[in-house]
Amino acid sequence: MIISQGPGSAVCQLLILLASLSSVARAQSRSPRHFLFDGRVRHSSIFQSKLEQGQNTVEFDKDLGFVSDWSSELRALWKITPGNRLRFDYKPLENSGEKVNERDLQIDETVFPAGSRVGYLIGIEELRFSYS
Amino acid sequence: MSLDVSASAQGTSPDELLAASINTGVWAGTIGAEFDSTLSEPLNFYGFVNWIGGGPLDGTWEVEVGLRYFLTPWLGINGGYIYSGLKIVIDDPAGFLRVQSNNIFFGATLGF
Repeated sequence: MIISQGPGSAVCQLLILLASLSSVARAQSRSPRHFLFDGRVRHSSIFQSKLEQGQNTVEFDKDLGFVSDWSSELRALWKITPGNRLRFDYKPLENSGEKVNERDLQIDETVFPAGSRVGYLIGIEELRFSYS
Repeated sequence: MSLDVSASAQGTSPDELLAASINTGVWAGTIGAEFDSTLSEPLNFYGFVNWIGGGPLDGTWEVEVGLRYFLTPWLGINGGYIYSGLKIVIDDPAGFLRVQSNNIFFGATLGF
């Protein structure tokens, strides 16, 4: 028997392991799952983010240095019956940054003069319960 | 949904601090349509469209498509795409906050 020890062999062994696990899953998953828990990471590419107040517009990427970022979230799904399910999502997102603004910025009644170092913090915390 | 947005600035003079903030906390209703292939086979494909409205939220949409693949009867991996379009009405002074984003996600799934 010849056993190769290169990185390609490790990949092959991993693929064989995954295929084996998948076969086991197919064979043993005939009964429906009633609970699912997803833990996941999410990368957000913001392509529009702005504050419009009358004639005043602040664009988060150009004016505040907003950048895309990673976040994590959780989801739980309860399949009560084949036609009824409950879902719970928790999605916290926090993004912060700073830059020297190139023009006067107005947010609410406050004006940030050009040349100021502007920092921002966006916090979105989403809890969602749904039934379908 | 709870949303807090704030911005602050340190002026050119160390003693000068400018700050502004917009804080919105809201519970909103959501309605949508969902497709879910199955929860019992190794491959689970799903998708849904949600509209979120009420309070300061106006025209907020979320579309998600994803899949779960079970490697064992109880452990799987997941991944997919989300489009999110958020629009919040600000009353005083009147205006809107708009955030649109493309999102990709991946992670692990436990199923029982």
